[in-house]
Amino acid sequence: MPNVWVPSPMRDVTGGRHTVNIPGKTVREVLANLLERYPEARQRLLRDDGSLHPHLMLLADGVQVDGWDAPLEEDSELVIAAALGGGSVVKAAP
Amino acid sequence: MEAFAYAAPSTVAEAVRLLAAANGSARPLAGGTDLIPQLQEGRRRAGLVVDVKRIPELAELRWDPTSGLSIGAAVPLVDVARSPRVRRHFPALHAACGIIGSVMIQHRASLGGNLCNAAPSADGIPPLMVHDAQAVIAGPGGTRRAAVEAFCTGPGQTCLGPGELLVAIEVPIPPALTSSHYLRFTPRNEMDIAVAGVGAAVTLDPATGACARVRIALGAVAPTPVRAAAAEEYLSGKTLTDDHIEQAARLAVKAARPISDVRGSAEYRRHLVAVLTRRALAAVRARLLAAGAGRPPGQETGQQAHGTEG
Amino acid sequence: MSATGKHRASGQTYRVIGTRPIRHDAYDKVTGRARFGADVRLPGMLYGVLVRSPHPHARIKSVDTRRAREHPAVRAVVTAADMPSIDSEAVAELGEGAIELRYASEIILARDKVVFRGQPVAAVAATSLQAAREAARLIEVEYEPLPVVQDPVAAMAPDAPLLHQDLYTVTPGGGKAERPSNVAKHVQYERGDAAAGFAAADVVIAREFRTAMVHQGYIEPQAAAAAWEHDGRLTVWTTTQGAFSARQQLADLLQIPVGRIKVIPMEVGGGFGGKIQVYLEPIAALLSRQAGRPVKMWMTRAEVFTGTGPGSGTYIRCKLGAKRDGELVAAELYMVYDAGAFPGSPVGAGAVTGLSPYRIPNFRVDGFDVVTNKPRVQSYRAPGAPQAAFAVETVLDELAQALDMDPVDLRLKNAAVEGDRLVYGAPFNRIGFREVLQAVRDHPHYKAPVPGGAKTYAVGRGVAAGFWFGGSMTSTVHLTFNADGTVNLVAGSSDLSGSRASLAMIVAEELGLEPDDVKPVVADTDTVGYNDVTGGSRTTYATGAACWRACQDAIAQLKARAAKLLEADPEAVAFGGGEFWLWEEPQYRISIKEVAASLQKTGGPIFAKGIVNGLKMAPAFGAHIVDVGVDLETGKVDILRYTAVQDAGRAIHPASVEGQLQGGAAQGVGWALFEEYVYDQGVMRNPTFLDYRLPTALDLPMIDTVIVEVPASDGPYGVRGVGETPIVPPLAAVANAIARATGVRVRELPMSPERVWRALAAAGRAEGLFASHADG
Repeated sequence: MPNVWVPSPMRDVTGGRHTVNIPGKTVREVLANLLERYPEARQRLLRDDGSLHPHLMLLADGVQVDGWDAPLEEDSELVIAAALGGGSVVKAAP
Repeated sequence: MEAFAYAAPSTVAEAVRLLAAANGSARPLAGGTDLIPQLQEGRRRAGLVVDVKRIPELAELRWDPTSGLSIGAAVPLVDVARSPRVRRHFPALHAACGIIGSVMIQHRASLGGNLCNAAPSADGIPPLMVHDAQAVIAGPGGTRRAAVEAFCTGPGQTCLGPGELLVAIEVPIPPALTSSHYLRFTPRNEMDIAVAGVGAAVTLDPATGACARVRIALGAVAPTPVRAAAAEEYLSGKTLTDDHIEQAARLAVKAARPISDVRGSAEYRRHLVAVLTRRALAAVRARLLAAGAGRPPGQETGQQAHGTEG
Repeated sequence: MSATGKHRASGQTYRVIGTRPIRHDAYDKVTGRARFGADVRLPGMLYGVLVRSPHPHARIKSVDTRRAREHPAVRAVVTAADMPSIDSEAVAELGEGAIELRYASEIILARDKVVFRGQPVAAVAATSLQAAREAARLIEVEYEPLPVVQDPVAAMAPDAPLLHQDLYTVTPGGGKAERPSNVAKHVQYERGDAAAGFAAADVVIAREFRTAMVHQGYIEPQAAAAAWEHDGRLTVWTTTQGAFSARQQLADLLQIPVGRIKVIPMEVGGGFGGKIQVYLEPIAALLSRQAGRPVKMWMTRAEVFTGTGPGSGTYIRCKLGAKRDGELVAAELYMVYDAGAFPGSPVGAGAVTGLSPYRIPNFRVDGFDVVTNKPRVQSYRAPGAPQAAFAVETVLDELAQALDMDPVDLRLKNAAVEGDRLVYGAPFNRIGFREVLQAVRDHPHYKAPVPGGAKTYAVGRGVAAGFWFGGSMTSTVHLTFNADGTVNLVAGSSDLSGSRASLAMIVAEELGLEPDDVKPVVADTDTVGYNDVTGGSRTTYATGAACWRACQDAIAQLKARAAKLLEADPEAVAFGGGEFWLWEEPQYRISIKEVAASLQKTGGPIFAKGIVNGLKMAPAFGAHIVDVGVDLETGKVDILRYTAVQDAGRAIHPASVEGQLQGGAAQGVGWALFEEYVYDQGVMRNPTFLDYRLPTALDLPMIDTVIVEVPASDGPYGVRGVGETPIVPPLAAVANAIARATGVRVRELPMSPERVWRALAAAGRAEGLFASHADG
């Protein structure tokens, strides 16, 4: 199942772990399952309207995710990271 | 830039008449490398700009075997720098005219303009001072002469009265066994303004090999370029040993009254005066030696020190 | 040194790629025919001039435009009251960089308060430039000056005067601070246990660094013209890195639909990240709407310095710990980036790029985005990375000295490889950092003995490394074919660096044509599909990939036409080297030019498209070697020899790549030695190219280059974008060379002669007459 990389300010929610395996076939499913397992993460991850906090970005297998219906493979990695923000928003990742 | 009237007279008399009639609101224009940016940035105002490049006397670089060099006020720096006479007799001036601004600016800017702009940091002025240059000035009352040393009266200020125009700069032929050099310090290697500049000229006594006449002038460390009198006095009658040069360099600092600004602190400028004075004097010594002037009396060739450089 | 550098080819050979054809824009550029932003002339055109704040921080009590409006030549006057108010927290994505719209609006025209000197307060349009300037002076603005916040570290103090009463720090977890402050954001990255890592280290070095605010130094000032038609259509001509980004910003700021706006990109005389944000365009548009006539505006150099977006000044603390064998075990970075008057410094990228090149199991990075009373920063070539690399690469050099290791070997021992995670967690795909370092170690420059100095002149050699992500984003290109076999390549990527030539070469390579057969055009926003900005080192990579895709589309369509002409099924047709032939009977063949000439007979024109919307990143690593000479009496530093080594993945046009490496190194040397916004109470003291010193040709040697080619994981040919990386290593490389020459570390930029002289004097390393003034 897909691997999720959790940013350091959220590690307390995952018991100090940076990576957790979360089932799901799309970004949306994986996020939903992540929040089901770690409900405290909701406030850190999403705004009240359910959208991603603007200070965060999602990278699926190295490419920044625009739509949450992007498919994930069994060996995919979804990285939750602080958006690089001012001066360097580049919509992809290594 | 605000609108201004433009005139391009072809005689000195006409230029003087135009300048005098404008009641101080006219500005002469030669290369324009200082004036145009100043007008654009509002640092100077001009109701009338008088282009002096079409006046024959101002465009002439003339050599006379007895009186020396006459540099028309609008002659571009590049012509001065390229002159074999300048290179041979006035190495300090040759050095300065080749480092002002950039190659492009040297094709446009004039030595006369450099003098009239009267920047404390003007590279052209200390070399003229150490070579005892005179300014030839035309005005409503006729023509007069003033020492270049007394020409600048403050930053951007000159001794030119209402209606007066700089026509030429005259530089006398130096005595035998004379050489000179000009050095300045800039962070960048071109397109820069001196943080400090030092011109030095030395004439040796052919009998003793000691300094008979010493001129040291400093730029960018006072409201106008200034002579370093204490250093000159100290070195007179002494030989150009390392120790004497070192002491003269220390004494040159006494003449500096620098300010601190974005180009350098007063402390750094004083320090640079010492370094540059030492280096300039050492370069002058090297030139004199290369010309055979350092040999004991009796072996003198009689040739001028700068004779081998032309 | 060779002028052309070395080109390490690998693997497959190409017919066009890797050659050095004359750029398509060369003729117009060298003959002066190219049309830049200020070259626009329109019938009935007016001239617009801005009134800018003389105060770095002040409340605007009143703006009286009455006398200006009465000026006979004036046709329009605008103030912030004419700008739509923006209350939301909406963000303008600039493609490279982002800014909250309400802040972007304030940068264009100040509303209630000015927060930097040079901030526009009003604008006039008149029938002549003289009249516009006269009228601008008639606008009376009454200010109430407020305390100035100049230094970003001082700005963080709890009792510092506030620039924005409604600015609350966004905390690392996404929360909001309880009290307003000048700290807009705190980013944090942590892995492992830094404290335990340092405890286990044999050598720990901690240092602090400062870098000055710098400008991109593009030669062409901002310039724009706007024509607001009576039916509501707006046309804007501008010098921009991204016409579509400019269009979106105009739509957001003026609150009009994008469909009504057409942005026509002019040639760009340098941008380096500074020509993404719009400044003049919205004002020219508002003036044009009011006047009913086109309005042109351009900036003076002083306005460019004080009114556009420079690169952040920084304060950085860096601590590294290593084992005796050089293995890095722990790191800490504390980074303060000056955003200028509104949030949005590139501290995020600085925080990520600083440590990512190395495998470090334990680290903590804290970054702060801080506002001060200075112009709001914008992107500048690898935004945020050079400052971070200055700190990290300097401490690495000190570690190498402490461990008695070769500085390149120390980096090789710790260099990241594919699979190692960047600071923010994502793993690197294929990268060529080790290959670059090996190329440095093997280079004749690095192997040559350091040249000898003299009593008052010390010589030393420094090295440093760095990288940039290499982005993708979105690009669209179209291809159409002319009857003579030439191809129109319509792209939306502004050409800042000769990219038209590189893109045309890709098309020529794929279609079997010559580069001259391809006519590349930078199109306006009505003519081509959406394109993100030319920035992020993405154009040759992503727009190049779009070209490659468009070629595959074209070949598929042309095959069908060739099949008709060869009287065969399309599946029976093969293509290569500019020719179509039958698989089974290769003697039947027809050239692409012949097919193009027959398009009308075989079904009409062909229109091929290529779209890229998200490739993986293609990080490009570089490392530089520099020899410096230091005048121990004056502190002046000479660059004696310089070699820039970089992974280009695959160099499409090697001369362009070399030019990027040389240009980046030159800008980096300027940043290291000369460039600096000198501020005094919020007032810039050197807004001219005379006192803001860019290096000239006489300040640099011929910069040697080495292109390493480790193919990128994604995109055609293995191409990596190369534009930004070369400015990352020079700051530290020069500082390390100075330290190796003199034994004195200068940790504040610029390393100007006076600063170096003072550092030498403080360390007792200075030669000459230091006491000369004491008795004078």
